[in-house]
This record gives sequence, structure tokens and C-alpha cells, in this order.
Amino acid sequence: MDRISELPQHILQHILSFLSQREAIQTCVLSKSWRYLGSTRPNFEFRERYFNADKQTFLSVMDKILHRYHDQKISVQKFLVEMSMVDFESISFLEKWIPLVVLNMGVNTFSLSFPSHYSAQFALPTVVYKAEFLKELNLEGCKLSQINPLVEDDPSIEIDAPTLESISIMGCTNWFHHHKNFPYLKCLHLDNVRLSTKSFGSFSFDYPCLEELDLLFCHGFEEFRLLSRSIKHLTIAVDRSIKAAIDVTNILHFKIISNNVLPSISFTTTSSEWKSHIHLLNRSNIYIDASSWFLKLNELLKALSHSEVSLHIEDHPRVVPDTYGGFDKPVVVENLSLGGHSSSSLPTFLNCLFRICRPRKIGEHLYPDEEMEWEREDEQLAEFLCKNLLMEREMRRYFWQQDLEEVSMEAFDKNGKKWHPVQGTSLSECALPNNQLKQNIRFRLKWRDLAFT
Amino acid sequence: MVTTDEKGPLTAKKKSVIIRSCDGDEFLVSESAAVLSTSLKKILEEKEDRLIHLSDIDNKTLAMVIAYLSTHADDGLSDDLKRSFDQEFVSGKEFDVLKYLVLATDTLQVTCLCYTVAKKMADIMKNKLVEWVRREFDIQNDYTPEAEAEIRRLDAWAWDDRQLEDD
Repeated sequence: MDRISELPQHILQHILSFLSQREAIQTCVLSKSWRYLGSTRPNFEFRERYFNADKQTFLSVMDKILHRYHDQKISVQKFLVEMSMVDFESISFLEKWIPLVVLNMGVNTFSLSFPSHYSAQFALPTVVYKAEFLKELNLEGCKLSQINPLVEDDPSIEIDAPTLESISIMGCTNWFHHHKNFPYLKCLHLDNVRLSTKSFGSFSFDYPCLEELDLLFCHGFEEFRLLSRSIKHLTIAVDRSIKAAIDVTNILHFKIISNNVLPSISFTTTSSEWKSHIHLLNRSNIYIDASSWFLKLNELLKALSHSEVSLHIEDHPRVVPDTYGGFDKPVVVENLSLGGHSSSSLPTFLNCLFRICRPRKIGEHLYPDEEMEWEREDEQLAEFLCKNLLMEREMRRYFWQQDLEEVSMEAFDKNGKKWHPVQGTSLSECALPNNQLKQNIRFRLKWRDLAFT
Repeated sequence: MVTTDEKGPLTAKKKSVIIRSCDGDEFLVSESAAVLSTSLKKILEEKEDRLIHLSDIDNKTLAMVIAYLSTHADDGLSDDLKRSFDQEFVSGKEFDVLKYLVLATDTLQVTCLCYTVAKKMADIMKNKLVEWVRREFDIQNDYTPEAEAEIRRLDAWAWDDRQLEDD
């Protein structure tokens, strides 16, 4: 016997399950005992983009292989199909196989995606919601079919897969289920999905064990109230103005991503140690009204002030009022990182920003990737900070300089994976020890207590 | 993980079991480590015997599995530390060592380690040509050239070099 074939078939198939589908199929020619191992492994994973736009081959290969599983009663634990097209042939393939896979082949992970389709066209057969052993359901660009498509004002989906532990839905579709709750669901990821204020009403009843919730660019509601004792990780991404009352007793990590418009959030928790991450973007580069932007950011920071806050501002309002006041005491921010800033508006922007928050560290994520080029804007920002935080702090050009007690510069040591202090006050000095400018640096700030009274 | 069964024999925390390999050597293992193996857990639940004889696992392999179980039963270690232990555990090991490990973890039903080892074995085969795999593992090609060509023809899509597959 050779060095590998003596392993029992189920172990060999377990090993093969980590290879790509193509590599698994290639093992068929190793020797006669390998003839069907790779094509009957427990995971069936096919992506059309690997078939050189040859849809016929793609469909017929999948059909042939699924027949082998089916005819020999071999179970498919994981079923993954990624398709580029929704047309008659692909629909008839899916409508033929989905019921068989879900009901007869013991699938526990079901993934179907149409990544190139922004609007969902393929209506998922309702049989998927009845799958007895399903633990993980991932859908992208699929339409969740309704119980009664004739009743337009009740677009609920009846989902009766009590064993589900993870659901991920991407692409324009509705997500209003009813009747059954999900007693074991741990992760719910909704991206670009239509919800309603009503969807949140019975949240803690519907998902009593949910630990991870992602609501990314979902729509269909203006405001919502989220109440959950089980959620530990919560991510919300918005690109329009929403109002949310969040009451999550045991939160560990909260992340808010906002594009253009800042949300209004109230936050309640009894968690004593939790982190929040605010990520502000302006993808569409539209004009932002600076006054209301700062006001909303101030509200958001106050709402999260009991957590360890990280604030990342990708783009800030270009036109910033020179003096801008009327804020309460500034909120402590653990990490502040800035990107894509025009140098002309930077001083006034920081003037306003430091009225509402006081960062302990600046720039931690400024140059996070060693492959990334140091852009001119990054360099300008680093130079500005270096100059005004370190070199010319005593000149007190800006009001916040007098509130600074101590400033030090740190560089990231890639080998030791640690931050270490850098002596000196200019960027060229901090570029040592390996004489590279392109390295991660950050500033560690100690503010006078006075600033918080 | 100590069983919560109040009436069972497994309640005492510091209890140990002795596990004997097929070579005859005996290992003293804490019960909290032993029960991370589903098979050992079942044996311990069924009989009070503190000596378990494993007739198909050799010394060297058993010692490795026990090191893994003990580390994972240690409540003082963080999950991060355990994860990096797992990575260290399989890195640099010869294929044959991994082979006996995967067999042992399959017998003992240590699901996490079985997964880690099988994945490592797959990594060794990844992006290699069939000829390399045959040579590396001494697999005798018992197909006739015609039969092999026929299989390659039937699954021609899998041999199409224009295909890019990154996962």
C-alpha cells in the first residue's frame, strides 16, 4: 500500500474537501482507487466564473456529478453554487436539484449566489426553508419567495428550518419571516435587504440566541428599536439618515459604518467592557453640511462614550466653519485615524474635531498595509500632525495645543509586531531605524484633565 | 470541560485516567483532557475502569494527541493561545506523521484536531500536479494510458489550464 491510499475513504474525502473542486476532480486519475473519491466528497462547490463563460459545460458537469451523489445515496453536506446568469437553463437546473439536495441529500450548508445580479431575479424554492438539517444558509442575489405572492402587503416568508445557526442574505430582497422563530440562530448577516420597522419588533423572541448581527445598507425603515440580550457583535452600515434605539445588554463590539449621512443612535447596555468602532465614509463625494455633520458626530460619540471608541474618518466635510462651538465636554476616543484629507481644510477640520473628541492615539490605521503606497495626502497629514503635535506645539497656533500635556511618536515594528516609541520630533527622524518612510506611525497623546471638566 | 452529570462517576475535577498505547506505554491524562475526545468520553461514561487500552495508536502519535488534549483542557489559556498552538502543532510535520495523527483523531473523535490535520494534509497537496502527488505518496498508477486519457477527456473542464481558481 502507498503512503496515502491506505487511509479510510471518509478521511481521504475529508482531506479532499479542503481542495478546490477542480483539484479534487483531478485526483480521479491518481489510480483506480481514487476514481470517484474527489467527485463524491462531502462538499459540492461550483463557481461559474471558473468555467470560462462556458455555461453549458458548467451546468452539465454539475448535473453529472449531482447524479452520482444522488444515485449512490451519498450525502452532500455543503452545497455551494455561484452563477453568473439567470436564464431558462440555469433556472431549470436549480429547480430540479434544489429540492433533491435539500430534502434527500442531508445538506447542512446551502449557498447560492448570483454575485453579478444587483436585483434579485431567481426566486428561491420554498423547500429550502423546510430543510430539516440545515445549519447555514447563504444567499446572494436571490429572491426570497413569498408564501402567497398574490397578497402584496404581506410579503412574509414562512421559514421553518429550526436548526439554522447562520443566515446570510445579500442583495435586494425582502426579509420578513413569520410564524417560527430561530432558536439556535447565532449569526444573521443582512446586506442590502429590505426590512421594516416591524421586523425589529419581536427581535429577542425571534432570535433568542443571536450573537452576531450585521445590518448592512438595509432599507425599508426610517427608525428601529433593537432589543437583545444575546447579541455580542453588532455591525450597522447606513447610507441614509436613520434613527435607532439600541438596547443590547451584553454587547462586546459595536461597529457603525456610515456613508455620507450620520445616523442618530441611542445606546443602552450593561456591558462594562466593550468596544465601538465608527467608520465614516463619503463614497459618493457629495456635499456635506459641516455644521450638522459635527453636531451628529458629537451626538454619536456621546452615545458611545462608555465604550472604548475607535474613530476612522475617511473623508471629512471640505468646507468647515472656522470657529465652531456649542459642544459639551469632548469625548475620549481611544484611536483616531484619518484618510483622504485635503491639506487646506485640515487645520479647521481638526479645530472642530478636537472640540468634540480627544483622541489618545492618532494614526494607528493610517498606513495599515505594507503594500499600500503612502499617498501624498497621507504624507501631508503626517507632516501636519508632526509639526503641530510635536515640533511647534509650544507655538500654540491652535487652541487644542494648550490642552496637550504630552505627545510621543511611535512606529510599528513589523517583526516584533509591536509599537515602539521613536525619539525625535520630525518625520524624517521617525523613519528610522530602517530608513523607510513607508511605515506605520502613530502619535500618542496625553491631554490635560482640564479639557474634560 | 468536566461533565456536569451530578450522579455520574465523572464529577471529581482532578481525576485522571491512564491511557495505554499499542506499544504498551501508559500515559496519565487528566479526565478533563480525556473527555475532549468523544470516544474516550463515551468509554469513561460506560465503565468505571480508569485504564483505557488503545490497540491501534502508537506511542509517538498518542503522546502528540495527549499534548493537544491537555493544552485544550487548560482553562488558563486563552482561545488565541490555543489557536496559535494548533498552528504550531501541525506546522513542519511530515506527511506520515500527519497521517497517523489523522487516523488517531478519527478513532478518538477529536473533531477540531482532525479538521486541523486534514486541512494541513490538503495544503501539502494543493497546487501540485497529479504526477507530483503520485511520486510523493508512491501511488501506483494502475490505469492504462488509454483509460487515464479517457478520464481526463470526460472531465476535460478540470484540466483546462485557462481556468483560474483561487479558492
